[in-house]
This record gives sequence, C-alpha cells and structure tokens, in this order.
Amino acid sequence: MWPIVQAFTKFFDLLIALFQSMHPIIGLTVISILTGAVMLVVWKYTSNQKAIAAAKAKISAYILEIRLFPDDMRAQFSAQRKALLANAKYMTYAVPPLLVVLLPVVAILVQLDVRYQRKPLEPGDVTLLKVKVAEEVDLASVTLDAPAGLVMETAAMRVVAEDEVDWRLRADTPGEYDVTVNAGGTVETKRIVVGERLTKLAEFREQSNFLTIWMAPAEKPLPKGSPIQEIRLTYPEREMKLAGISLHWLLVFFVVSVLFGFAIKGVVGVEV
Amino acid sequence: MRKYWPGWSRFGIATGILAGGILIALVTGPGFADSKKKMMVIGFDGMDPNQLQEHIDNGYMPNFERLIAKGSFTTLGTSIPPQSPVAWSNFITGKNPGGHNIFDFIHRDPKTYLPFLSTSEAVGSSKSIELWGDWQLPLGGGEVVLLREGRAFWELLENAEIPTTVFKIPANYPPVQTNVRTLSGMGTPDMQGTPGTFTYFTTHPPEDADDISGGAIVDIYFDRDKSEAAIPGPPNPFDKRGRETGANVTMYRDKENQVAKIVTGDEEIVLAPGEFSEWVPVEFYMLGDEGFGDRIRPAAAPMGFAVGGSVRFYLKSVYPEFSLYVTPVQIDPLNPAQPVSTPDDWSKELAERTGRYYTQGMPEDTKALEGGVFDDGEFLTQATLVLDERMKLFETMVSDFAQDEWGFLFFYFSSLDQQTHVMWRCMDPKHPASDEMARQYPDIITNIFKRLDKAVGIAMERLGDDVTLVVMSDHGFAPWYREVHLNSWLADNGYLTLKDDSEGVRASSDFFMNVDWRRTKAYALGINGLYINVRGREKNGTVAPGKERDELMNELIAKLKELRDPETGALAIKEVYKSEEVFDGPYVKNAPDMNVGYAYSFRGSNESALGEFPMEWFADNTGKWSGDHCIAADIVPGILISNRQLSRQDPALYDLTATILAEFGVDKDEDMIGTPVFQ
Repeated sequence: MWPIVQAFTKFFDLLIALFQSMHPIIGLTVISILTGAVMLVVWKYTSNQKAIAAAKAKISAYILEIRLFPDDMRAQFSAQRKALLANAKYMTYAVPPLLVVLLPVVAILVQLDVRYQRKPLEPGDVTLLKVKVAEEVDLASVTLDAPAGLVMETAAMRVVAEDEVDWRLRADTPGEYDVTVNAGGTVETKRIVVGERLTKLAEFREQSNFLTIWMAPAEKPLPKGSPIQEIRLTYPEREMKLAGISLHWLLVFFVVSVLFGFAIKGVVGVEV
Repeated sequence: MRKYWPGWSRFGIATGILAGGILIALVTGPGFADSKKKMMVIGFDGMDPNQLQEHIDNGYMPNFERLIAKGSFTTLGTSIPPQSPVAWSNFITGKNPGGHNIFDFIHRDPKTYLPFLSTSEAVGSSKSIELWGDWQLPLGGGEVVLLREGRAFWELLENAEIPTTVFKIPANYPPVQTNVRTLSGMGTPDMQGTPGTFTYFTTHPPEDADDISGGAIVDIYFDRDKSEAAIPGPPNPFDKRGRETGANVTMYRDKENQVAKIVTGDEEIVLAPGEFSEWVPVEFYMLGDEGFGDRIRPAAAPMGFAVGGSVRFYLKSVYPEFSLYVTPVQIDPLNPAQPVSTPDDWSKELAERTGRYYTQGMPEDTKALEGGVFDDGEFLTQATLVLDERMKLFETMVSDFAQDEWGFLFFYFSSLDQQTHVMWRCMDPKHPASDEMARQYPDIITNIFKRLDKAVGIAMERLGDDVTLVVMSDHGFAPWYREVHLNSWLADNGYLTLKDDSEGVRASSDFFMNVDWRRTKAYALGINGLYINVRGREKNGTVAPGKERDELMNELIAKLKELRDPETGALAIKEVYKSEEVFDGPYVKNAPDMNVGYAYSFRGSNESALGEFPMEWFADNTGKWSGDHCIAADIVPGILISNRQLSRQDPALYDLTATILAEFGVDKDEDMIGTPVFQ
C-alpha cells in the first residue's frame, strides 16, 4: 500500500514544484481547477446521465406546476410530493458517482492538507519533539540526535506518567533535517523542515495501519510493533492571505473546484 | 487666450473666487492650520535630570547628546505630589489635580475612611437570576470606569482630525473612547482585576507565604513526577460566591535532567531552570467543577463561557524543590476580554505584528521581587523581557510613523521608573537595603539609560530633523533611606486617637480599623495625602470647616516642617502644600487637605499609607523598593528635551500639553492651565 501512496505523493511533489516560486494560492487554485475538471469527467462516466437529466427535468416540471396553480391546494400538495420524490430519485442517482469521486477527492485533500495546513519552521522558531514509547521501554534509554541546523535547547524531558520523552528544538538554518530517535536500540528518524518552501510536512509518525498510511502520506509510518509508538512535533499554521483577507485552503479548494466544475459542465456536456 | 475670456462668465469668476476663498479658509482654519506637522513625544517614566546629566557626562548617552545639541534640555516641573498617575494626568489633561481629580495612587471614601485606587473603579453587574446550587445568571456584564476627569489632549487632536497614536500612557484605563489609536498603560489590570497578581507553584512555600502581596503562592506536590493545579483567574460571575476561575495546568518534572514540562489547554512547554517561556494563551471556564484551592476549574470536558488571557512561565527550580512562577494573567491583546485599546481591535493588530505583549499597566514584577519569589537576577531577567518587548513595539511604531505624512505619536517606557524603584540599592552602597547580592548589579540603572538612549537614536534616525521630537519624563528620582510613619506621629501627637494603643494591637491593625474617628482630627492616607477629619465631610468628622480647619492645618504644617529624624537630626519634610493653594479646578474639594513633600531620602511608609500604626515614627527602609519620587515636588522634576528651542526654562507638565496642541494649531480648552514652550 505504501508504494502507491508514495507514488501519489511524488506526483503531488512534482505538481507543487511547478508553483514553488509563486504565491501558494496560485498552485492551490490550479490544483482545484484540475480537480474540478477531472471530477466532472469522472462524474460523467460513473453516473447515469440520462436518469439524472430525467430526474432534474421532472423536478423542474413539478416546480412549474407549483407556480402555475397557486390557488389549487390539491395540485400544490401533489406537485410538492412529486417534486420531493423526484429529488430523492435524483439523490439516489448521485450516490454512486459521489462514492466514486469521494475517494480520490479525499486523497487529494490529504495531499493538500500536508502542504497547505502548516508551514515549515522558520529559523528561530521553537518546537517540541515528543516521542511516545511502549510501556516497557526504559525512558532513560531514549535519546535524540539532531543534525546541525537544529538546536536541542533542553535535555530530554522524561514524562514518566505518559511514557513520553520530549525535547525542545530550535530551528537554526533552513533545510530539511532528519533527527534520529533511539529507544533501547530501536532507531527511527523524523523529518523536520526549516525554511519558507511550500512542501509536504508530517507532524507525526505513528505505527503503520491503513489509515495512517493514507492520512499521513508525508512520511513513512513507523513499523508495527516498534517500541517507538509515535514521534510528533508541531509546525506553525500556514496563513494564506489574499488582498489582506485570510483564507483557509479548504475553502479555496472547494469554492474554486465547484465553481469551475459548474462553469464547464455545459461545455463538457455533463448533467450534475 | 484673450478670445476665451469672454467665455468666462462673471458667475464663473465669482465661483472661482469663492472656491479659492473656501480653500484658503480650509487650509488656515483651526483644524488644518499646521496640519502637515509631525510630532513625537517619548515618555520615559522617572527619568531624573541629574542622573541623565551624569550619564551624559560619562559619555553613555550619545543620542541624547545629539538631540540636546540640536535643541534644548531643561527640567520639567512635576505634579504635586510627584506620583505617576497624578503627573501623567497633568500631562494628559493640561491641568493640575484640581482639574483632573487624581491626587494620589490612593484616594479615600470620606464616608468609610477606606482607601481605593484613584484612577479607575470596577462596577460589577448588580442584578442576577438565581439558579440551582451555587449558580446564578448575571444580567449585564459590569464595567470599569475611568475616574480621571478632563478631556485628554488627544481628544482635541482628534476633533481637529490630526492622526494621533498614544501608546501606553498611564492613567488611561479604561481607554478614553475615541477613534484615536491608544493602548492603555499604568492602571490597566490583569485578568483578576488587580494591578498584577503572579502565581507561584512550589513544593516549598516560603514561611511568610500569606504575607506576600501581589501574588498567590500555591503549595503543590508531585505524584510520579506529575502535579496538577490551577492558575487563578477572574472571579466567576456565574458563581454566587464569586469564587475565582482557574486555568488547569499540569506540571511534569524530570528530576535527573532538571527540566520540566508545563501543559495548559493545548499548549505544551518544556523549560530548563532559569528560563522564561514565550507568551502562552490560557482559558478560564465559567462552568466546571470545584477544583484546586476552591477554584472553579474546567470539568473533564470543559463547558463553554470561557475567557482567555495570556501568561509567561518562569521555571525557577525542578528538584529537590520545584518552583514555577507564572506572570499575572494578562488581558490577551490578541483576544482582549476587556478593552485595552481604541479602536478595540488595535491591540490585536499590534500583537499580530509583534507577537503578544504585556497589557498589564506596570509589567515589571516588583511584587515578586519584594516577596522573595524573584532574586535580583531573576527580576532583572523579567524586567529585561519587558524592555525588549517594549523596544520591539517602539521600533514598529516609529517605523510606521516615519511613513506617515503628518500626525502625532506618543510612546511610553516604564522600565526606568520601575527598575529604579527596586534597584536603587544596587548602585548606592549607603542605602540601608544595599547587600552583597544587590552590589552584584551596580550598572543596572546605567544599562537602562543606555538602552533608552538607543531608543532616542532610533527615533532621530528614522524620523529625521523635520519631525518635532520631544523626550520627557513625569518626575525624577531620589533614594529612599528612611520611612516616615506619619500616622504614628499623628497618633503620638494627639491628632489621631487609637481605640487600643497597646503595642500588640497597634502594630497589627490596618486600614484604620483601630482608629477612634470621633476623637481624631487628622489622618494620613496614600503616600503623600494628609486629611483633616472635617465635620460634615468625613463620616465622623470632628473639625469644623473654616477657621478651625485652617488653624489646625497651619499648626500641623508648622510642626511637620520641624519634624527631625532622631537618628541623623535631618529634617524629614521639606514642604507641606495646602491643596487649595496649589490646585485649581472643580475637584479640589476631593483632594487631601494637604500634601506632604518629604525631604530628600525620606518618604512616607507603606504602612502609614494604608492606615497602619507602627510604634516608631521613623525606620530604615530595608526593602527592595529603595528609590522613590513621592517627596517634595521641587526635588524631583522631570526632564524636557527637544530638537526645538524652548522659549522658557521653567516649564511644567501641563505646559507640554499646551505645546502639543499649539504645535498643531489646535485651541486648548479654556480650563487648561499650561502655555506653549517652543519658540
């Protein structure tokens, strides 16, 4: 499973690299447009276009009936009931393509999340690196090696009550660094990014399972059964501003992709 | 060209003349007379002219020297009494205390004789609906009222549409409601509504923990190197008993590695001993369960109605004893629970650019030092953080102002005043509180002078010569060697009668609880205030207004001016000012009858100020608070330096107010008493 996720992540790395020197919102907008277009095509070939068109036409007809006979209560109720039924039918037709679209959209959202939700540390920023270990691990045996570019500001803080060891790290110079955690002979690394680049960021490495593989694609999960259960740090939130207004990347993605999809559905000939 | 003249109708010419006239009127009218001027005033609280001159002579103040060479340097007459809220109110309103109603840090209610803070008053919500158990639903939010009277000079600038920014000026909390950008200064409380109450979590509370003022000492214990407690927060309006809210804090320690982890809300911090954290947001939930120390703290799943604040942690030690200092909970500038700025969101705008900052009026934690929670070095670290933060804000605001076409900027520094108060003993080996530790820091005050010189240099460099630059202080400084227990003197000389004069009772009573008011003629309250117990004004007044009062005042003045320190034979009081002689305005009636101007190196004791009666009249001041200025006004003038020439050499604070208004061509209010000082 991991190689598939890796390949998908690599594809996004290449895509994002095209917009590296630009405002983050430009790359996000282009990806949102592409997503809107691709999903529209997927929708076209995974949905019953004729049935959807028929359901929509019926809904329109019943709404027209409601407007034409405002004084006829029987006609009103009947038209409303039929419109609701047609609408339910329309929803039923929409479910299969929605399900098909949902999975790739979630995968795309995850890829965008690891790039747009947080930003790398800046030189001078301080973060807490937390390592959770299995109960049987002697906390005194847990060590951390940080390369030049990162500064360990405190000795290991062993949190006995939580089976956890923490270090306060300060980013010193831009770069991508791997810190090495050793817990009683088990060695794992954690990537820490310093600088201004738009790049994928993993706030944590957890032990491998289906969800962590798909939901945390920026860094390989920890092996199952490892005495190191989690390595975690916090990156600052990325703030995207357009004309002085703060925009959440998710809002930009949904608005742009949906608007673009609706804008070209006539051109592509898709019933939505 | 000529052929077009007939095309100009007479109407057109008349219209042109009218438009030109309107334009001339507009540019010469009161609001626009000198509208393109720029002026900046830097307020260094407590900068003493003699100390400044000494530092200039030693070559420590190159930027001050340059500024003085361009213009002028003179002393600036301070207020009577020379206390910061009084002095800054003189500057803000252009009046003396009779016009602005601030006479001391502390005023008294004549109907109860109880003291209260002079600059603002908190008024709680008076109505509520009773709910089950200990809960109630308050109807209305309560408010804080500024007690200073008189219009602030920036209100007049605003009326004339002069772009104005006033940063942290004292005695302006809550900030006067204007559209001018202001941030409130001295007088701004912490989230508990106090001038600043720190929290100290420790496994080893000091024996005198209950006597430490300005802080909550919380005794904690560790289980598996984990301890849970709560940071005291604001009183809970939903609680009938008005108990404090608390923000949960969990502390972990690593005894071997000597580090600690602090967790509050979503925030996690690891500190080594001797380190301060950055600002950390904390939340106080109004609905929860009864927690540590009888405080309301969030239940396992905190429920709504939270108010936020911000704190910094300082880890003193980890093991064998754990000690963690927490700053007073600040009104968070990013999300203020109470307004600290105008417009309301200006505090947020600033914090977004510079990071969170102290909003508390007097951020240097002198109480932690006096209470022994900080040693001198730790206090110095905390005070340096305050100055660093202030310098960052200063640079931001000066840079912004440099981009502006015109307008007025005031910026305030508290560091010199607060540090000189508690660190005078470090540079003065003669001081009774000078000890080995204090003598390790002989250059503290000099170092602050040097840093403030840098601030002046930044302003000069970024603003250039065309901007009128004024550097001023509200008062100077003097050592405080000897405490004068004025109320004890009054009691022992028959002017004040105690219910029980036995040593045990006399020494332990406070807030005038031991005073027999029906047999008392005069009492001292506040640092300089001396009141006559006037019949019809005070609840149990004994002295008739008019002749009897006047004769008593004259008698007291004569005796006090002869009061000598038995140890040195020096006169303890230089001057006693009658309020009706030195104040003007409608509020003279609220003033103490007299203001005591102590002689150099003397000052009224804190005990006396709050109605206590030590057995002796004089005592050595062995406390950390070793320098002061609440003495005779002419001993501690402030400074006035500008890149402009002065027209006179004896200006006072209210003259500077008139000068600012005149600089922009704005008429002063009729009851402002100052006159402009620039040539």
